[in-house]
Amino acid sequence: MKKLLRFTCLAFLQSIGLLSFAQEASPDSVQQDPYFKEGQKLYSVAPISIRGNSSHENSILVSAADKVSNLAEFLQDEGHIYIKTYGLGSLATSSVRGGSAAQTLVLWNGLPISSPMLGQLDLSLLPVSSFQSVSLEKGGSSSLWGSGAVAGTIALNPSHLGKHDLAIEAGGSLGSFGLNEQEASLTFRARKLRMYSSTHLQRQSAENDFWYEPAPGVDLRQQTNAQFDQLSLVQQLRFDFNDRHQLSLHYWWQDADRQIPPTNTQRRSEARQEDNSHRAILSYKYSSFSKWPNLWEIKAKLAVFEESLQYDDAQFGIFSASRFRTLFADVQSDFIVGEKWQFLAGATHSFTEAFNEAYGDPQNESRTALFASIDYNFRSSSKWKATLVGRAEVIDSQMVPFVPMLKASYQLTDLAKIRIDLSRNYRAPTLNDRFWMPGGNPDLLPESGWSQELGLDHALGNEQLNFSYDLCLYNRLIDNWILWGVAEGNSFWSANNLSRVWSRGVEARFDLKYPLPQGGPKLSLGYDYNRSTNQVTLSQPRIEEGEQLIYTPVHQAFAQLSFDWGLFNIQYQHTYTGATEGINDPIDAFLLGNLKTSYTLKKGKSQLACFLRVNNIWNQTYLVLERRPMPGINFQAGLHITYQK
Amino acid sequence: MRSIFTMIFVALSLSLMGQSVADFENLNVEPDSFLNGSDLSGGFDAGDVFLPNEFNAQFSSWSGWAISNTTDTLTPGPDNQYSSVVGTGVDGSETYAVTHRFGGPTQMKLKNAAMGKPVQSIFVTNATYAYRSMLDGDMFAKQFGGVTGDDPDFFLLTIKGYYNGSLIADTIDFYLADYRFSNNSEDYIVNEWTKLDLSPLGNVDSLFFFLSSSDVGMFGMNTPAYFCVDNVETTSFATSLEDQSAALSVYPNPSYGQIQLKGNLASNMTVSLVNLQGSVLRRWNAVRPMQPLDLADLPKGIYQLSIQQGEERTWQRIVLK
Repeated sequence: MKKLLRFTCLAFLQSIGLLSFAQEASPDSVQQDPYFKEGQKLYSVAPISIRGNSSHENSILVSAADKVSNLAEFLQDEGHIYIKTYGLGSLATSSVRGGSAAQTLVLWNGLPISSPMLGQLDLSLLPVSSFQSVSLEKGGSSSLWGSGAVAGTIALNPSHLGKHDLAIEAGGSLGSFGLNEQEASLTFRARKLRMYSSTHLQRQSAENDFWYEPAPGVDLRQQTNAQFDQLSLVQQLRFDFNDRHQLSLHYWWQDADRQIPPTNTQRRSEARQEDNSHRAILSYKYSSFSKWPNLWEIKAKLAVFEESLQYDDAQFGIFSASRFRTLFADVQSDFIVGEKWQFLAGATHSFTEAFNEAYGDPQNESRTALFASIDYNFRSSSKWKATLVGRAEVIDSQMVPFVPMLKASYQLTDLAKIRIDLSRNYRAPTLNDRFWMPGGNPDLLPESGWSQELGLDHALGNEQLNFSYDLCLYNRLIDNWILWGVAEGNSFWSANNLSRVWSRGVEARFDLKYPLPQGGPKLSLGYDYNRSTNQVTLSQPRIEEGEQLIYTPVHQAFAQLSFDWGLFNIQYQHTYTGATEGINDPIDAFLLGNLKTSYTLKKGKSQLACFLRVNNIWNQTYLVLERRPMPGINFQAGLHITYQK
Repeated sequence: MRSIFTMIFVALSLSLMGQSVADFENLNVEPDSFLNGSDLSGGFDAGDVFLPNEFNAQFSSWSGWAISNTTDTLTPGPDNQYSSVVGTGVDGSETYAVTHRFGGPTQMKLKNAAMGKPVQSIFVTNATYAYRSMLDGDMFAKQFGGVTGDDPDFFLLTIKGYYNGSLIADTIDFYLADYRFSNNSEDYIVNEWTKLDLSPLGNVDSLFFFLSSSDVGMFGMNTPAYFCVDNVETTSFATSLEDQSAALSVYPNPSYGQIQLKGNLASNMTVSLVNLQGSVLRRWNAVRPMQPLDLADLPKGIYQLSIQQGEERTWQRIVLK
């Protein structure tokens, strides 16, 4: 239903030529914003910041049927990006527009939560039920978010506070391979105290002991050592001292214990991994809106993220423990001057201390950055809009090259917009790249390069039939690409700035909707063409110039047919993932079909949502990563009860 | 006491014949322990060979050769990288050598009177780490045979010789594992000490050992690059160039069942075919050089060919495809 509401709002706003603003301010964020009470026009009420917490484009709401998913599954199904997964419940990372896993930044409340040791985040560990929506923004935005935002940015948007005096939610799901998931949340506001609270608790476990066909004609084999247990707690608190001063506390605890299954050419595995994390953010916001349309807002955050990872493989003799703690201080200020100008200026500092036995002594890293942006015509009716952003950063006394970004759009017609993005982006070497012994290289340079993007968004049709399409061309060249290889004379792997990678491609999206009073059918089609090639020849690792990156399909496509009727929804998705090269073997292309349906029953202040998902409905045998078996047809079903007042 | 006399007798005999055996027992390795070069000595002397070692003190990593008498034949993984799959040296001896080098060959240098002379023979077998990895697979390397059991996997040891700074054209190939047989029951991973006749290489100053595997990707070979060596038999008598070109060999090898013996051979040999279990399957008397021997009716697999010339017996490993 939330999706439907969002689509309806977007369709309306698109029709009046304000799509870009609407996408940056979801309907829910408008409802909770104090400016809405001022009675201003919809498009002018929200203090939209290009560096906001939940102001990214392409925000995808988490529906009841999605609550059982982890972030990797959710992004694959709803964001249509390529997920490199080692199997059910196992490590999963993203590849956006041919970028590496470390080149897509994951943000929570506007701060990066990727591991500074690995440079990436295991998306399978993040349950989406803890968030209201997930924003996926493709393309580089290092000028805003710093290191890692090269190929894309994923923002986890927490539940909005203050929509209801009281909301109690509880749900559970069961599924194939021993899947068992429960969640509960309590949200309330104390009006007199101007206090808002939200608590969300989730647990999930699965055996993941699915049967798979190792190869055509070979006896079925059962996956082993694949058990998964996870707990997650998200607590949010907000105090509105008055309309100008706001203090928030966000806390997120996670604990995951899982076995690491064998490959399909490994007789058995005894490996297991435990991940534990504490993330806390104290946030303060001051808003001054004395005279419309001028506005000044300042946001300050203090945060501490602490994670530990324990990997044990008794069979292989590996016992590896690592942990890190990162402290953040982040401040930004937005100024809105008249109808045309918006300015942003800010500074961010982080200090990380990390430990792994392979580092020898604990290692640390500090990063300090200044950034600023100017928006022109950001809320006027002019056809031209532009944003210019710049960032200067120092990492451990080493200056990172200045990173600018220019985003501009031109409204061709009321329903057609052309846009361009030019940006410089970078990714700093991880702590493992720098300090792991043997092979760490403290003198590594950041991966860096320029990206260009040209897009066209066009809506057509009439009241009976809505048709829209988006086309995007992009180009990105990244120098000093970090790879681990064997240097001349060495007998061990080491990290070096070995490669240059050129990524270019096309993304096309088509939506066709036949609106009916209670909903109606909708067809979405998408096709991604991506060529990401190494531009240098290497012997170790063996790479030829012009060779496509491993685990990076050139072609991807999907077709999604959905039908809404009142509170009933059914959706079938068929995806095509093109062939890729693996480290050792080629991976065949595969087709997958997924079905999900949900129905919501409403009575008074309560509602009951139930859902059923059928994954891999055609029971295809496929691999995403070589030697890592994937499950055949499997089912998930669940109930979700909500009481709101 | 009797065995001591036997050892003395063998040593005296070898000495009189100009031969020396490097069995590494002289290196006095503590029980169930190993020497990996952490003393930064740069290598190990045994008999008339020198085994180079590179030890990185910063990372506690080694490359080249280690000397071991560890006995663990079961534990997989790199923590058990010093054990032979037999658990001992040749004939139950305590000490043997393990070699490992990332991405390149390991070298064995001859010294003293053996320098520039033929290496008569060497015993090799798999290291437990490589054996278990090929047998069961691990997180990096595949179980040989793959998911179907039909993948034509192999782990090949190639031995090359250098003489006066030049690479000798002949090479010795030995499959430490071979899964290329159409009948999977014939697939094997070597788990016993196997004697290789290196005399076909002729006079050498040093030997280079190359490992290659069918399980290879963009980051190189996945099969652990380890194997074990014992009883390196050297000689102080050079082979003439004529002799060197005429050293004994079996041709073709592998074969489809028709083989010939080539080289400087007696005109009257006794040849026996022995399977890996040690049973004599065939015996030919009064075999002449180049005389065809028909093995086509035998199952495909690995066999040992014993060639008796007077008092001297030579072993050749052959493969029937």
